Amino acid sequence: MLQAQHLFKRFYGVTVVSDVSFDVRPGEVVGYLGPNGSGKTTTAKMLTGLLDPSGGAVFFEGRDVARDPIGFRSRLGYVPEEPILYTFQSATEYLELVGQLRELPSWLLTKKIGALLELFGLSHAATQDIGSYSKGMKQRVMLIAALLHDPDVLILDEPDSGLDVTTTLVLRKLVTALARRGKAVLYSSHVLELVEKACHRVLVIHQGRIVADDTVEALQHLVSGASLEDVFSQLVLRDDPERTAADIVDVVVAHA
Amino acid sequence: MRNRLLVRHFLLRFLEHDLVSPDADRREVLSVAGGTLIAVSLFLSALIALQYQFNNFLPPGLTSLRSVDERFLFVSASMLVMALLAVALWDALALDARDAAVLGILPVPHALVIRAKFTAIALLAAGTTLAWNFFPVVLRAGALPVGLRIGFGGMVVLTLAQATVTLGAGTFGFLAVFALREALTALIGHERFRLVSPALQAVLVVVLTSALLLLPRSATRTASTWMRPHPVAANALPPFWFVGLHETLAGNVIDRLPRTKPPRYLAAQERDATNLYRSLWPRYHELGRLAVEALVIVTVLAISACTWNNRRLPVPTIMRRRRISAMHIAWRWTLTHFVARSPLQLAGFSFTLQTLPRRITHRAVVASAMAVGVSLIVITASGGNVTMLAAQSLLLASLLTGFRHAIQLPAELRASSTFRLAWTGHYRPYLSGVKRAGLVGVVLPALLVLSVWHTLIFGPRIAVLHFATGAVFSILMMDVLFLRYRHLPLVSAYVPRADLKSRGPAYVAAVLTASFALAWAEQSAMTAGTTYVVVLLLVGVGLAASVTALDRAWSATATVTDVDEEIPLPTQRLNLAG
Repeated sequence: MLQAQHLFKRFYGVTVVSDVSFDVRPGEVVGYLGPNGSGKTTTAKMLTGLLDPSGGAVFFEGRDVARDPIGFRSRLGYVPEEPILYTFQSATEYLELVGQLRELPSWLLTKKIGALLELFGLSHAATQDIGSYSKGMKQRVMLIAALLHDPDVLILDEPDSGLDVTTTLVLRKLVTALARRGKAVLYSSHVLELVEKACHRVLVIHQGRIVADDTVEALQHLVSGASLEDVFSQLVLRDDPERTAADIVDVVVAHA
Repeated sequence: MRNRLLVRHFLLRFLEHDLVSPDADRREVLSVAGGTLIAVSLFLSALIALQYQFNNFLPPGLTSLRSVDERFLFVSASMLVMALLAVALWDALALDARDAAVLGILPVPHALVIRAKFTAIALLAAGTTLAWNFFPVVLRAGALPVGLRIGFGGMVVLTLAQATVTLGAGTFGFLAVFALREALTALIGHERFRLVSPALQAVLVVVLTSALLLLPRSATRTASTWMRPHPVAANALPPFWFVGLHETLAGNVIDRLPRTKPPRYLAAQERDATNLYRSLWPRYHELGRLAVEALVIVTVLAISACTWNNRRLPVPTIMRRRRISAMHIAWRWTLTHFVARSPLQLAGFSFTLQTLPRRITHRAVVASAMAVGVSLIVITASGGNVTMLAAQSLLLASLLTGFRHAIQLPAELRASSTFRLAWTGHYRPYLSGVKRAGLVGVVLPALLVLSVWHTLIFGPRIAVLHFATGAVFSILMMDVLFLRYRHLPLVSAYVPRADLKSRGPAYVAAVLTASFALAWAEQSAMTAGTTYVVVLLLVGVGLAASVTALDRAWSATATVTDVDEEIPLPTQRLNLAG
């Protein structure tokens, strides 16, 4: 089980994440929602160890991951919000590098890379430089890299951004299938419909604090007969979107 | 207004270069680069002017000949510096897909964008050539014997001629590289050019840097060594064209001076010098005409090829797929069975061989190291056997030092999270893979090329032995260079060494001593028979084994390299500007 306990993160005195605690159990998909700048990516980076928390700790199977970050990362798969890859490599070269760094045997790596590139629809571009890939293609490479070593924990930070409709559907099914195989999945996304259908539980973060942590059904009971979008609006939005949109149009059409 | 904005935009984009750190302060980069250019040219000009203070009464004939050498030096330096600038900018000389993405959607006429790009390139080239040639021009009048009565008018003519030929040579150097780039693009198309461009750029770095390093040595007695006995060679070397132009424009200022009776010990030299200088007048005119023609041709070629290539804004091109051939599969099999057998070794090996040729920063470092090595080879080629044998070690040492520096630079710092997430903490096999990549990818090709040359000079038996010695020397030196190295090659952030100034000279002295000692031992082995050779190889292998054992012993006690480690900077910025 992955546990975040009282995580805090401050940048130059500004608190970005404040007292965030939750857990993700094996076989569970937990949705992580919040508006831009609410602290989702910062939380994800603290969970992976890419960012040190200013306070609190992350536990995996009861052990503080800071004591054995390498051991934890060997069982972690992470898809970051922004796909930053070595652009001068091809997808095959990048995935080989990741697999070799994880010390996967050569034969298994070759087999897995070939199959996953095919399944993710990248085999036609496997030997092209990543620099020429679209955002969605890069995102798919990141997904494959996160899955290569059969991780126990998956942290997916907006993995659907830039993906086409087909791959997004595959991703939704994939997340559910992985959970059925006992993987613990934290899924951060803006696509509420996807979270609503794929996640067992939803965390909502706003201005660095967790404002809701419950099952989708329980949250929907908060607003009678509402969708997750309505719940999200209720919890997070302070302004009327319609009013804001009208104000923007007023500014855009002004000429004097 | 829009033109000025665009020119400013393109000028600033020159500083967003891969060779400039993204975190670097642009003003600081400009100041350091400009300051270095001006300081080096000032030093060169002052040094030459100073020499005349010890030769105050040098007669006109000898002065004219010495002036030819000095013009060759200044003209060549200006040409090479400007050509190297164009090679360093290379991709930035053309509009790229990012320019198209930003400017293509704005209501800005295409012609305006092209004109602004041209103007920015011209301003950059003009600024640099002016900065480089300012002091050589200003101090021209000071680089004359006081005893010569040239007069104010003569000094003005000499200064203007110096300005014309050095600025012209600089412009030619820059435009020649620019024209080569654009003409090749026009001939083979953008997509094919992208495939050959990295190799072409690396070759140009090697050739131009070697020429620059060898310049002080070659700028002596140019008239008697090159211009008279080798007219074809002089015709083929662009610096001589501009030297000829200078002599055509201002050569008579000194030559027409009345010949007073020189001191007896100089009389014969003065007579010969005057005869030689005057016998070359037709050559000066011929070469001067070549200079003007060449400048016009490269200008027309650069502008027309560039205009043709920029008929429309560039579109992002998809790189052609790398084909997986039978050779690739065979190479892969050899690699995984003999060279890098563990996954981490393979990671270090493959990542190094992918990064070095594909990243401009890494390519430039290795190419510069190669240029230093080639210069050393040229210098030692005319020496005796020991010197020629030492040349191989000097070249290898230069290449390995360059390699060691290149792998300290991160391939892409932002992508280093790949390593942080996948790193298993086993450092030694990864580093071993990196070192093997250096030996296979950098050392082996150099040794093979040298062995062809050595076969021609020394015969096959000595060439094979020399090749083996070079291989042992490289393995040993590679281990020495990575002794106590604990950062992740091509991943960790680069931190310049604070003790480079103190350790650098000691390192150079050690390399020179080791290279010549090895060469001396090799020469002894050539005459002493096989026993000596066996002893020599055993000593080499023994040394390599000792260094490896030392490295292992140190690694066993040292803390494991942490990819997350934040390396302290040697200096701390105060950031007072906010």
